[in-house]
Amino acid sequence: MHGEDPFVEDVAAYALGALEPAEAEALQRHLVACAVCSDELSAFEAASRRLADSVPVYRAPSALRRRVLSEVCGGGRRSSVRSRRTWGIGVLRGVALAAAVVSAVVAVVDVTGTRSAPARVYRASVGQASGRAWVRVAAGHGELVVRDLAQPAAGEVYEVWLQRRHGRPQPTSALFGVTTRGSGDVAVPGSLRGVVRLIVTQEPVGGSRTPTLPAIISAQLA
Amino acid sequence: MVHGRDCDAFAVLFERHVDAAYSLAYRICRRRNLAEDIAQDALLSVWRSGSSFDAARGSVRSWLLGIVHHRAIDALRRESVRAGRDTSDDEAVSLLPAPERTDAEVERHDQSDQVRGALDALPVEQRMVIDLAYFHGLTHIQIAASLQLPVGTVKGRMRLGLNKLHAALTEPTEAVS
Repeated sequence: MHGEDPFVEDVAAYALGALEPAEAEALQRHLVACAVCSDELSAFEAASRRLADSVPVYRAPSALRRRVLSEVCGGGRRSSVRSRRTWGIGVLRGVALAAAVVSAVVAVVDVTGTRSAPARVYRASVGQASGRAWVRVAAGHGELVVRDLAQPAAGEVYEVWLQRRHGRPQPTSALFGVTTRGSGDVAVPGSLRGVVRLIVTQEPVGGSRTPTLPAIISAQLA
Repeated sequence: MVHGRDCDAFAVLFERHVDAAYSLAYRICRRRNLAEDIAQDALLSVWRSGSSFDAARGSVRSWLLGIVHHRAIDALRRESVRAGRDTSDDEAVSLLPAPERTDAEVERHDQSDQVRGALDALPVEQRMVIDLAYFHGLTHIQIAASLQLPVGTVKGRMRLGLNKLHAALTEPTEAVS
């Protein structure tokens, strides 16, 4: 019976690339003879491939375009995509380095120069002695950027919450720590449409269903 | 088309998917230069080995992103960049959201929303093990150690999470509730 199959719990880990090499080899041998595990693997691989679609999409650097197309099509070829507008970078960089303005929109910058919605950068307040944070929102999706933030306490993580008008903060799947230098770039899951506030709290590893207040970070988005 | 060494066809494929390839690499390794190298290697490998693409196993996009994912995780493990997974302020703010230029890109945006929604619907403990495995390249043993859980629990959560994810992405009408 499949329920007694010793490999059954390995299939999902394999689809995620999370088995040790020896375990993966053993499962591969098993898959040759087990149609049930093979079918399950197909489903799990299809699901895991879709995870790539959850990533916020940024424009690839112009240099990458030039290098690849030059190698493939020869030196005369140029990408049909217009080059990045460097003034936009400068403006956005200036925004990031500007003096802190707590819980205020510090800039609305059309960083793409296209018909797409402009990116907005919201400075967040940080309830610690050190630390800076801001939220960049584009096309309804956001990225939280933190700098100089203290490490969460042992056994705890930072958790991102989204609050809509007249609602309580709702947990997201964004659980994160920071580097030894206190940095972190966190993709905010889901759409930010209708969200009025983003907060970050410190929670036990695994996250919480209700936020432990006061918030470490708070950004007013509307 | 790419198989036939058609430069124009490759250029179309390139423009359609380069942003996604770069973004996935960056999401995993968190270094712009490394992400560029990974995306470049993956795209050139598509050009060189287009004949290995099997349409029965998915789209060109998922094939390319699969290559990017494998290379990014390999790089992550090989170079131990996790310890230095850091970006300067300049690096963080110079990432520009890719514009939506075509209907196809708008559709991909919708698909992206669907995946994020499906992930959000998972219990947080299942989301976490999937995230640590897929985006951080951790093995189930490493995840178990870092979360102080039995390895069987980690594998079980992966299995439950992927099962729900697959159901949500293939039966959207049931997953929306």
